[in-house]
Amino acid sequence: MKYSRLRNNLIAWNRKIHIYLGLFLLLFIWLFGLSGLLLNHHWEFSNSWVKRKVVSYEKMIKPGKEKDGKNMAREIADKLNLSGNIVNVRYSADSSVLDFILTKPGTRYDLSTKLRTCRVTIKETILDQWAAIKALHTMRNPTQKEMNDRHQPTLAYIWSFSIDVVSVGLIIICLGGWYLWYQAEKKRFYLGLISLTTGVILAAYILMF
Amino acid sequence: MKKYFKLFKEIHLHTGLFISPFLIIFAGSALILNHNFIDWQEDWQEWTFSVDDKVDEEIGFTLPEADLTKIEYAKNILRQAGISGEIANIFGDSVQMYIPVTKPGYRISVKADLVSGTAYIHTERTNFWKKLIWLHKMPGPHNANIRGNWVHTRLWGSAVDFSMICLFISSITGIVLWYYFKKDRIAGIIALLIGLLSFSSLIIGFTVL
Repeated sequence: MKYSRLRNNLIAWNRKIHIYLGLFLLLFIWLFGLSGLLLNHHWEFSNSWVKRKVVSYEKMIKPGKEKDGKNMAREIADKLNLSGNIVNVRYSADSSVLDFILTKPGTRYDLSTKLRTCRVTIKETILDQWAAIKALHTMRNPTQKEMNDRHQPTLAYIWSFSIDVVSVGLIIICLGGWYLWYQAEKKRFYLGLISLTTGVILAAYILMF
Repeated sequence: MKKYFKLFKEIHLHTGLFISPFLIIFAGSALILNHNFIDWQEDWQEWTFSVDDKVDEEIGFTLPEADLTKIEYAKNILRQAGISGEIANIFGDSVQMYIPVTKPGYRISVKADLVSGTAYIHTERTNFWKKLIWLHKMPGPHNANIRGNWVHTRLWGSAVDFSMICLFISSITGIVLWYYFKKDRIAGIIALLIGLLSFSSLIIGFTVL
């Protein structure tokens, strides 16, 4: 009796979590599903690089306090009111020019700063919405190797955290779905077993090859 | 609409069960890619030329016909050397050819001496987590002109495409099923709105800021 009540409670809670978590993550799941398809195929409509718009301009900034390349790049970006991931920070051979790239979904800035004159040349590359969607899929925390020459803004860290939430959420939805299916009547259970086994065999085949 | 309830329920169950192993692979590998649990980032150059320092095997081969395309030429050499896998890239000249090959659990570096007809091979095993990452990133957007040159990469790519289509079907039928459950409507709308708010504020943040 006690076991049966516990089981019913578990089913009810599991069902609620399955539904609400699925609804909460719906847009994130669709975004990652769509962007995954875009990344795996090279459809003409999503060839954003061909359709890019490039604008170049120059700006003057006040001399900064930072001496380290990455921090200096960040300071320059702040002064120009630009935000995004800072990558590829490098000095010219005589250390008079600092180059770096600043990226955010759909936009890329190539910045070249003449440190003596404080003149910044900005090449802004504007990409379409498909490039932005793909960039959201591949945006992640920096690896150990990238730590030293990459700066990531807070928003990108929040996005990386949302990737964790979606990943854990998807695993919970799948495991919860298995439990709900396990409670189904015999006929549905066996038919479901065929669907699950097909998926497992297909995935395991490549994994074990 | 009510008469379709059972049909939607079955579609949701079977598509969901079929894609669940794929989703678990993608969600698990996304967590690894987003964090530094393991050093997953490949040093392509180190891998490609690792055979210069270490040779595990030397195999003779007959020079393929010169009119073959670069990829077919490399595939021909690999076939003769008994190596299967996805050719990640091809480097070389008329004297030698470097062919980095990858497949779940392995990364192989092949140097083909096109004068003597000898293939020098260095094979490295990779762990289970790197297998998951391989599956997450394949076929992917890079080296589009040669990507999918291994039958199993193409098979995996098709399985991923199919599972993504199933994901969309499963989520849409999930929404329809939720609509039938009157008791869950309010809480579901709240979950959906919270998800929408979180998603849109991140997207607006990336595009406006």
